[in-house]
Amino acid sequence: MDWVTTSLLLEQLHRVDQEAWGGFVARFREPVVRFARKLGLTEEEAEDAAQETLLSFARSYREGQYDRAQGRLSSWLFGIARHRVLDVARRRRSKEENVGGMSGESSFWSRVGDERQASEAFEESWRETVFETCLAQVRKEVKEATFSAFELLTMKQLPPQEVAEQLGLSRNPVFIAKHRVISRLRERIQEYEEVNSA
Amino acid sequence: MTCPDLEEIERFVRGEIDDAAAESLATHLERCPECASLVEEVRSNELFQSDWQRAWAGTSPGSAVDARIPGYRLEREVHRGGQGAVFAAHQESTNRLVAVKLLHQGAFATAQQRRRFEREIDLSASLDHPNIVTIFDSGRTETGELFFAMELVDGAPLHEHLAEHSLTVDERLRLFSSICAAVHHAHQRGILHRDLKPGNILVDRDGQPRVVDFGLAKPLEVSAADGSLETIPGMFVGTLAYASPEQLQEESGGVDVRSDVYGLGVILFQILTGDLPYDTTGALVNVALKILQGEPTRPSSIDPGLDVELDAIVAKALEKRPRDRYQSVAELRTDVESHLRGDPVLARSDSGWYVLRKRFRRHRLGITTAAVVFLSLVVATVVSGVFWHRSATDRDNAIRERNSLREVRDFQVRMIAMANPYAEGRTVTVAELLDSAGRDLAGEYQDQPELRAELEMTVADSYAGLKLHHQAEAHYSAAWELFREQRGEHDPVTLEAGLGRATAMAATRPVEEAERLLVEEVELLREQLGAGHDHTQNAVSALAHFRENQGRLEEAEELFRQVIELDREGEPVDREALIASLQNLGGCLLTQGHPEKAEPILREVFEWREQHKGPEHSTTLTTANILGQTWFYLGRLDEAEEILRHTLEARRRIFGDESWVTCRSLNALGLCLLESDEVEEACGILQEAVRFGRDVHPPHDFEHLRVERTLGGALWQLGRLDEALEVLEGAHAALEEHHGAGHPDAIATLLGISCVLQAGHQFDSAATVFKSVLSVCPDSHPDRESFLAQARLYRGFCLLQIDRLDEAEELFLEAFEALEAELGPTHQRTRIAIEALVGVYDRTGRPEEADRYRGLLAGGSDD
Repeated sequence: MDWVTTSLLLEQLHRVDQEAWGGFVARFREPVVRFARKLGLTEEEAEDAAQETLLSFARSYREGQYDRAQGRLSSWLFGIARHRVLDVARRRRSKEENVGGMSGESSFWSRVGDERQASEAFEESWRETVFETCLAQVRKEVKEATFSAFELLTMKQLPPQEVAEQLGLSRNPVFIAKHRVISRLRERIQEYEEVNSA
Repeated sequence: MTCPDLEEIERFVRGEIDDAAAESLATHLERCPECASLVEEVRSNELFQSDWQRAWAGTSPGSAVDARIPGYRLEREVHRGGQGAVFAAHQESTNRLVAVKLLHQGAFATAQQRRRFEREIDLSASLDHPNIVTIFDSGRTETGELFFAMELVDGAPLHEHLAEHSLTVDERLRLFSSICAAVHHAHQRGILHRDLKPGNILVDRDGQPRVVDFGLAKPLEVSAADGSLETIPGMFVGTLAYASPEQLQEESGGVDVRSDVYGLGVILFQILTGDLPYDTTGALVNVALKILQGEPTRPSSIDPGLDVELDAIVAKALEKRPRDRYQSVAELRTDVESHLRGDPVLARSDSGWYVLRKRFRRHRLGITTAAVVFLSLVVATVVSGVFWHRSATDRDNAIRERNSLREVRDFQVRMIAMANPYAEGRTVTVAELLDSAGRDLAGEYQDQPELRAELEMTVADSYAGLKLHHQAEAHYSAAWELFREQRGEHDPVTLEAGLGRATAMAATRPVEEAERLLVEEVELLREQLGAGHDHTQNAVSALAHFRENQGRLEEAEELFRQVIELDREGEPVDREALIASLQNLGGCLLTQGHPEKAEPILREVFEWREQHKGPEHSTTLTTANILGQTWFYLGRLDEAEEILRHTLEARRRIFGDESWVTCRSLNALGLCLLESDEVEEACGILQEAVRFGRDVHPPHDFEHLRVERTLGGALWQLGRLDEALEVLEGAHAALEEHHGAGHPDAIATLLGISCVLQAGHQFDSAATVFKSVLSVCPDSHPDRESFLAQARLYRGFCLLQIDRLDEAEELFLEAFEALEAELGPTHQRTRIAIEALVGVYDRTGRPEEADRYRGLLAGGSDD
């Protein structure tokens, strides 16, 4: 599988190319949305925050403010995203304060406000995205029955016997399928992480 | 074996197959690189799964925030865990903000499990306690997933709360106590938690802990189909750390309130130290093994500022076997509260010595800790103290109490001795620990002379058990002084300390002085307490043992008989004391060479102990061992070998290889095999006895040195003369240094050395050694004349070989005269001397002389 390296994406972004923007968004939008959701924004708010984050990033990148030597792209992105999420939350709060506020808010603020917690949430979102992207990729690469065996056994946690019966297989092929998918998934994730730091 | 299938490999990697299967698979892997690389791959995959578990769970079905739940409007996700996700939600009917937990479909393998789970939610909803998060609704989403609604707690999980607030130890303990209160409340209503961990305990803004998810956990479910462990996603190593041993084992039926006690123990550990009691990094297999078999870390080893009492509380909660733990959460909580108030705690007083024994057994290979030794001292003191202050008017009671006390002390002394006090290369030996415990007594108990005296006695007994007589003497003396000041010189307690001191002194003083000390002690005790008093009886036994060790066997026998006589006169008879005395007598008769007299006595002792103490009680095994030796001397070699092998096996199993009782069994079996002409095996066993014996005996120990002598003899029989010589010379040097050249054992060993030299044709050296045997043999040697004659004969033969004929003749003549006078002219030994003389006259060309002695031979033998 040939993933496109982040450097290449960034280079294309420089050329203000619609397709490059598409590739950039495809890779980085999802983790930002997840991050915003983890911090408690609603689906729509999270979408908005992600859009603003990526635009803000592209703008500052074109202006030459982003220097890869100074840190990973994801941490740069995280800084922007966090500010956007805080903005959205602030807007919402001022709106809510007008209607009398609500309990449980303090917990939300402590989460957004806590740099470490927020950073962990971002990291987690990033990992989830990587995981899902790669899982989707592997799904395309293996036979449907193989993937099903893996999915039923590990994601849905069905007993091996039941998986085997459902797929009309004996037990051993179920395990072979499971490990084939996991091994491949590991490979893909490793590649993906490599191209992202390239 | 054939190559395992992938499922089996996976179960191996997860540690889900039994030991035997795992071992055979491991052997296979050494030979099969293909399978080995498969194992590596599966291992990496398992690790990968746990690395990515959160992402994994995130993609599971049922996580979508837009799941439709009738009556609720989901606001945001609060938490995501292995079972499912928790959302903040508006309950439309009440318009309040609540927490809704949405469970993964995958969490339930069968419809039955799912139904059980629903029932448990209903049960849990009945709990009403300020430290429990209340469940008030449950049901299914529109897509059929299970959910339940509960209070929304504004706060953080326990571990985060602790990380963010720096609480004092007492504050943390109070927090823990509230958690216990909650769990106990549920237990009283028949609801177990089963998955107690910091993540399931929220601390609210007021600092109050709130326990969630009662009865809802099924962290490790045994699937009925194949008995294997199934894990729920997110339930990898992280929460395994809180699972009790019985939860990890096959039978899930064994889970009860005490499993929650265990979980709370782990949490207490974590609250105190910020760490876990076991290292939980690494493969699942290893983590589970640590929980099942490992010794938990002591909290105070992580934070030295923590009270050792807390170590004891944590240790009791974390016991491997439920029956050794606190039997309820209330008990655990009581101890924590007692500790907070400064009251004594259950974990240290009650656990009695049963838990201690367990701990000692675990430590029998030498890893002892100061805490353990100290604990045992405290226990012994508590117990003896209790008995001490009761008046013993009723003899029956007195016997019972004394026996308990005796057992505690015996136990302690045995356990300590078993921990290999003399092993080299240990970082801390028991002796050193005793030293430090002993040193502190004077300062720590300055204001409590009685207690201090008691502890001095206990330390002294322990030293005596280790045969460290100088130290024992010092502590007995200290105890004696204290008791004398407190109770007067002739109080039984003072006299007992005095007896201890005299016995310890006797062990290190010259023979005459030792004898005098013990005799005086016997007289004093007779006068003060009467002949029948326990202490007097003990003094007489001590004197008897002393004489036995000096080879004065008949005198020893006489004393042992006196003790037995008085034991029998007791009203009622203290059977246990009587049996112990009979054992002493039997042993003494055996040493005297009267196995036929010893046998019925020892058999009676053995049968009584087998019946009343059990076949594997340490005292029963002691008797079995000596009975085996008796049979062996009686020529009943098959029976002897059988009982000795059985005893050895039991002792190895119970006490480990490196304990002195096991050494004793090795020695006895070695002798028996030697007699049965199984010299090779005997030699191996005796070598083992010597090797272990060096670690468990002090260098001057008779018993050990006798084993060395026997080994020397065995090696000699096998013609391994150099090795034999080395062993014997080592033993002799030790005997000479510690007991004097004239001790019968030293002389016997010397005789052995010269025999080995002779067998190696080193006649000159052999003759010299025989000469020193003759010069060092003291008047007190039992059987002196006969022994000297034997030595003269040996020396004469050596001199004959190197043509020192005149000297040889002189020796043979001396031997002949002595033997003839003592045994008569026709005795076998006398005849040997006569033959020797005939030989020497033949060689020197003196036919008349030769013929004269030949004539004596013609008279025939009386053997």
